Amino acid sequence: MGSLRNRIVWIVVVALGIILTSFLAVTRQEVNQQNMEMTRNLTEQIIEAKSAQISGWMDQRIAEVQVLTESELLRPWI
Amino acid sequence: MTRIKPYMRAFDAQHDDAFESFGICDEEGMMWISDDTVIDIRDREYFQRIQETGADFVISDPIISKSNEEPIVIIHHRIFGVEDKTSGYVNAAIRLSKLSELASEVVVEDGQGWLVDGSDHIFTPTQAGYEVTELEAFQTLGAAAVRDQQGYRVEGQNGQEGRLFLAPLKSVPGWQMGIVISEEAMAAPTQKLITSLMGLGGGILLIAVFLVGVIISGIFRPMNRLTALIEQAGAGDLSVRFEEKRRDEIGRLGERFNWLLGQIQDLIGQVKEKEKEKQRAEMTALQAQIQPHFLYNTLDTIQWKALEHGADEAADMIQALSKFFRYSLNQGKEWTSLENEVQQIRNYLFIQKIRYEERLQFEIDCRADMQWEIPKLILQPLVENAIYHGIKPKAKGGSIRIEIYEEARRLEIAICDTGIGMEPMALRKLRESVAGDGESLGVGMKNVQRRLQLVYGKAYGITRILSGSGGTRIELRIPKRGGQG
Repeated sequence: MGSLRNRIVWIVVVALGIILTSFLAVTRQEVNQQNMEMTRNLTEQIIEAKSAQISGWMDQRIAEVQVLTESELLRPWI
Repeated sequence: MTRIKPYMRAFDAQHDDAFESFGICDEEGMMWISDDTVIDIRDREYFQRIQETGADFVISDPIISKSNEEPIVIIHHRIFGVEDKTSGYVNAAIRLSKLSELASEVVVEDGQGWLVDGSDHIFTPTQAGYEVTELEAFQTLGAAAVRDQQGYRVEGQNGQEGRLFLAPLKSVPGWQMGIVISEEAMAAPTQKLITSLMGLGGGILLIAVFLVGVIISGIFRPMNRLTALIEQAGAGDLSVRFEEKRRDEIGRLGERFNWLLGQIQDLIGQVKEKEKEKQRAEMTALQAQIQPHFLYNTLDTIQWKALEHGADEAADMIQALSKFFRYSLNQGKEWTSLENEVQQIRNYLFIQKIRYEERLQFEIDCRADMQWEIPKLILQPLVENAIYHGIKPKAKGGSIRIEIYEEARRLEIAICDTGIGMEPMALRKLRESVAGDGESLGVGMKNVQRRLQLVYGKAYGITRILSGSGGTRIELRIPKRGGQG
């Protein structure tokens, strides 16, 4: 820390460090907040899409059963 | 019925992957199943529900198959007969394992899907670590209420935090698909972004430090070079020069450094030159000292010869002259005691007295410490002036009185003569000359004044010159100060 050169380098490093740390802290805060909200929305959409897939599978099964109920073969039984 | 059974069995065989079994149920709730068993389903919730609601079909909550104990879900579909009247029901049992498989195939981040029925019972395996059914909110509010708070915060068994998401299955009213994603997994992209930002920030910091280092080195390199040159010059090498041609502050500093070194070299040259001159002068003085010795010896010889021939007055005069010369030289010393100075002036006046006889009278009144050190030959030039310009031109001659006394740690000296005195104009010019303003008059007096003021300052030396028809009075002032050899 003795020489003038080292003193200037230290001052610049400390000043830049403080500025960058503050910038990163604010960015982190903002990104965390906004990104988490976005991630939540995206996840919600994905899960709705996946549930629609299962729902679709169930619809197919229901349709198969419906087809069975409409079969002519069941008429004599009736 | 006989025709239907093979058809139903074939249908069952075709759809074995998803369906556990098929059955045909009459309006009273008696159901034939494709494995040839007949069961009564009148008290089943789904049977009662289809009766009550009149819906085309209903889907039951998960139940255990009575035929093979397998967990199943029933699709109970109405069979429409003549004029769309219900003539029976088709009962299709879906394997719960198939639904579990479908749900578990839903993977988002580290979460795995599961299904919850209309009674808020989770009927497929939930992902490890989260006991969602034990959640107070899940139990008290119900799955639908929890769903409305998308991203409901839950805590895992290991303390890890997670978010619960629920989405309804549109084809099965009341059913929902759920999934819990850990906070860590959800935050991972954000964390990655922040890590990248931190890396970028660190990189910028490193680059900035590097650039600052380079810039500062650029500034300090010539400064360090200049410092090294100063140290080199300090060690005695004055030939060094700052050679860089720069137009900035360092360049100007270098120029001034070079100029200073030049000045120092010039001064050293001058000092050396003076030293040489001094040595030459000392050599000359040493050589000159040889001549006075010869002079003193010769004067002694003449004195003895004069005494042998009875010329006592001549002998005294020679002795006085010899002493005068000895004092004048004073072994090369600049300073002498007041006692020696007074003795010197006595010798001088004694010689002059022999010359001018009765025309010259003198008196020395000394009331001061005789050991007082003063520059030598202060009085003689002034007394000489008094004789040559005051007494000598006066036919009757005159007297010289020298007063020496101490006052307030100062030596006050007055040389008074009763000679012809000076005209006012000449007096004014003399005063100006002594003050150093006018033309050079009274060389001896001016010389005394210059010597005294060099030693003691402007406040001392010849302080007053008075003159009139009655004679002239010159006053000197010298401060009390130890001799400087």
